[in-house]
Amino acid sequence: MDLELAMQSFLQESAELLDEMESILLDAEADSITAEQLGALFRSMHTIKGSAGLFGLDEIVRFTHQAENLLDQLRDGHLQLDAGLSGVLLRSHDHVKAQLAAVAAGQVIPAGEQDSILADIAALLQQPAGSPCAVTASTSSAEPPDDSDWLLSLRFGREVLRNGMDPASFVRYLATLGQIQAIASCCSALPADDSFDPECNYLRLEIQFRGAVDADQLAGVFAFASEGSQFIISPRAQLSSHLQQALQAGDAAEQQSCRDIWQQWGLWQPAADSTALPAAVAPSDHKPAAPAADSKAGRSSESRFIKVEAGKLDRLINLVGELVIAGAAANLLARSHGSSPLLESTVVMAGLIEQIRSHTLSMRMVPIGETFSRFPRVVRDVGHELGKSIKLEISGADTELDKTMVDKLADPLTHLVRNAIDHGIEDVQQRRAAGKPDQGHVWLNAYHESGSVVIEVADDGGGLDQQRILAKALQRGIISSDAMLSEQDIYRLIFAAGFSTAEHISNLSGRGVGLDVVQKNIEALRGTVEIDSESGLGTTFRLRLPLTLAIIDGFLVEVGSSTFVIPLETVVECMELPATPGGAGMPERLQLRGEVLPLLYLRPFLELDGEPGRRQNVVVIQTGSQRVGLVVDALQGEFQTVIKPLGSLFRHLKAISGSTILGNGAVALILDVLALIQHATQQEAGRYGQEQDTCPPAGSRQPHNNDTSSGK
Amino acid sequence: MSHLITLAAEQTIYQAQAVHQQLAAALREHAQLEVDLSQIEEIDSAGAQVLLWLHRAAQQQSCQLTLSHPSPAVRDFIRLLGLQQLHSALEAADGS
Amino acid sequence: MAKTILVVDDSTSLRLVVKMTLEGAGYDVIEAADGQQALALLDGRKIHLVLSDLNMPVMNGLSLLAKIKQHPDYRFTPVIMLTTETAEHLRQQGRECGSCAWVVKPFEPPQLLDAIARLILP
Repeated sequence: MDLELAMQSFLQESAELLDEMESILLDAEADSITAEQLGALFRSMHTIKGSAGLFGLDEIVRFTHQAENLLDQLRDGHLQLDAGLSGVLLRSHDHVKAQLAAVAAGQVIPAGEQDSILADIAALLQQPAGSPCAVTASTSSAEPPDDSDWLLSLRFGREVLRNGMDPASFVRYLATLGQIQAIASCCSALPADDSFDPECNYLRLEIQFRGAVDADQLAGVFAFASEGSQFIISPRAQLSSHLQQALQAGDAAEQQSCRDIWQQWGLWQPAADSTALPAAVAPSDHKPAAPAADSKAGRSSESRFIKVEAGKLDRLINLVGELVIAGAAANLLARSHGSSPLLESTVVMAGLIEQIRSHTLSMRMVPIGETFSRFPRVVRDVGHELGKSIKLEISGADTELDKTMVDKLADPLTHLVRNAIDHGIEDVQQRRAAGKPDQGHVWLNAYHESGSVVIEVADDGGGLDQQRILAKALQRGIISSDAMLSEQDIYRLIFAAGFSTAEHISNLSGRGVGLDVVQKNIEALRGTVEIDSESGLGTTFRLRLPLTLAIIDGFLVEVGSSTFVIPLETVVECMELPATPGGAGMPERLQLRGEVLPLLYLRPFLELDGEPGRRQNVVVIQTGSQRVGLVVDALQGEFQTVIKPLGSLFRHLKAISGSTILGNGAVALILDVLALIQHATQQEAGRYGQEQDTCPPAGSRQPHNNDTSSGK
Repeated sequence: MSHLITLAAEQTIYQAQAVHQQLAAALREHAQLEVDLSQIEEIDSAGAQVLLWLHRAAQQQSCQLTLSHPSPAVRDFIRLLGLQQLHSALEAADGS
Repeated sequence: MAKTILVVDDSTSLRLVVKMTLEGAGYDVIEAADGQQALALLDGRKIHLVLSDLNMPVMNGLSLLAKIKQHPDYRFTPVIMLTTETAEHLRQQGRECGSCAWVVKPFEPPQLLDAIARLILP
């Protein structure tokens, strides 16, 4: 192949990128730099690095990787483009240019001042200069391992086919790494009735494999499909633990069908005392206990847990929070005394405190599966009562959240699931008429997203009928006849007190307790409910809840003399607020890479005194798909934050979710990102409405004017 | 008289939904069904799952199903994933 | 019959090298410089895999991913995102747009071929 041609193209492209980089850097010294320019700076080193890697120009990759890191920090607002940084970047530019010139001339790449630039970059990144980090991913391990035997139990997730990942492709690839000595499909999960969905995967594969590979390599084969899948891969020598783990998943039919396969392969002996074993294994990932009788296994798993009163745990967490602060204070003191043995011992202690803290916090986290596990029963009972055949599918049961939340979620979730079966899923005649399988589906799904826990209750029923909701709301006097409502607003009406859309009020969900209770419960947990509905296809209720852990990774910002904490997971990027073209005024939104970003000025919003400085910063925060730019005076960086709940006096503050104490003893308030984003997007929608002018503003957001929109 | 359906060359996830519906209708209407697999040139897991489903559904609805003349692509795929049920269904057809 | 891969990247030289690497391994390659150009190529021809950069002008990789997952004729096509960015929030955004595989740059040709081979062999 014509490598020379590709190399020419690489050199030319790199030269263009370097020119652009230089002109941006020279321009930007005079004036403030835009987000687009920061993006272009980043992409210059990024693209050169990517291509250089392909040509095996390791020296260039090593250098541009560090420069890229620096630009990444700059782009994210962790660094400011001052004269010093600009100088380092220009020297980096010159160095890469010299490197490329040497490549073009077919000479050895000169070392030049590489080491001194790298040292400067490292200093700016505040990391030890010696670590060339990353880029080592591809180095082949010293020696290929010898041939070894492996057992693979592959439960591919339901969605793999839809995601374009065919289990067969992975098997074909596996065959290139060694020898598949035996393979069998277990398809007990594949339904024979109408609930079969031809785009879902139902296959589970059992494989015996021999090859010169290690466990990581084998796991890597299937890494792309890991979401929603369960892969158990063990050396042949660990047969018994493999079988035991592999049997923990799936229903009785699946387990039996796997046992049949292993028995055929001579791996499984159906001894009388061990057939009952898998069912008794506690849900732990530990090595197999010796094959034991039911009762014995049950007892031993019980003794591994201690029940602790929640209040005790809360007091412990509080104390640990105090300990973190006291530790930081001691460290400050030791530093001011300049006693290095004292300093050393406080550092050791800080490490220990950190460990205690994270262990303590993890004690309060429990998988939501505990709550989910009651639902198969609920669904069966409710379905039976209403004469509907319902299939419940649960995913994300291992998503962890705070124990107190788990307890308070059980009721609202039950309500939503009942509602889905009762009002969501149509009766069989209607389903048949709509060409749907007789059996209705209800999904329960949990996952973590931007610092929140999201729980979805979905059905494949008829969807919400907007006309009927509107008619009913009118009839009940919940809205006025001239109200203009968005789709979401209409859906939200079903949360209004005393609302019921079903023509027939059944004795299940229509007994006076409406969905308004669900809404209240979730709001009490500082969560939100979103509704997606597609006529004829179904409805999804999406609960978004804060983790409400006593600790978060925080990002500190400054407004005037006050410091605020933003949960780090919600921070997307930071930048300087570009000067307005007219000079004066506060722009209400920003163009960010072609998207409109509504801005929320924290100073007026929180009614803080003082004048903004000349330079203000924007912190882009995001939950779900909504982004908002918070305008603050200064950025202070990351800080691990111990949340202290607000006193009852301040509970009603919507924009503040808690407080914390900084290392120097000062108090900082933690911003409630969810509430801020809601406020900003509603404000934006309001402005938009005014600008459109044709849209009657009155009543347009009436149903929830009185809730989250107030700032304080 | 057995009703005959010949499956087209491509049996992948893009066709699975339609083929499934076609076969489901045929199952409802006919007590004897023969599905000719000789034209299949490309098959993936979704395509194979439709055949597995057909095999099971036919048993459940006591329809007499014959899967006949598997093409090399079908045989290869069955071997690749160790699809024993399909394998035995084809054996049975060979024997009769 | 060789399998076809759509390569989407704003860097011409990177596209060229990837193209040579893939063609050398026996795949057919078609190219696009950004998401928008890539969408124009989804015109009924058979495409077995899409290999896309994340960071591109005009239409970035995630938006392209979302469009592919909505396209009736291409929604099951496996997508590999090439990125140097390992940030979790991007992967989460990826999950919202539709699932895909991630390969972290800078890669070497054998690594790239390995990653692709898991999803389609030539």
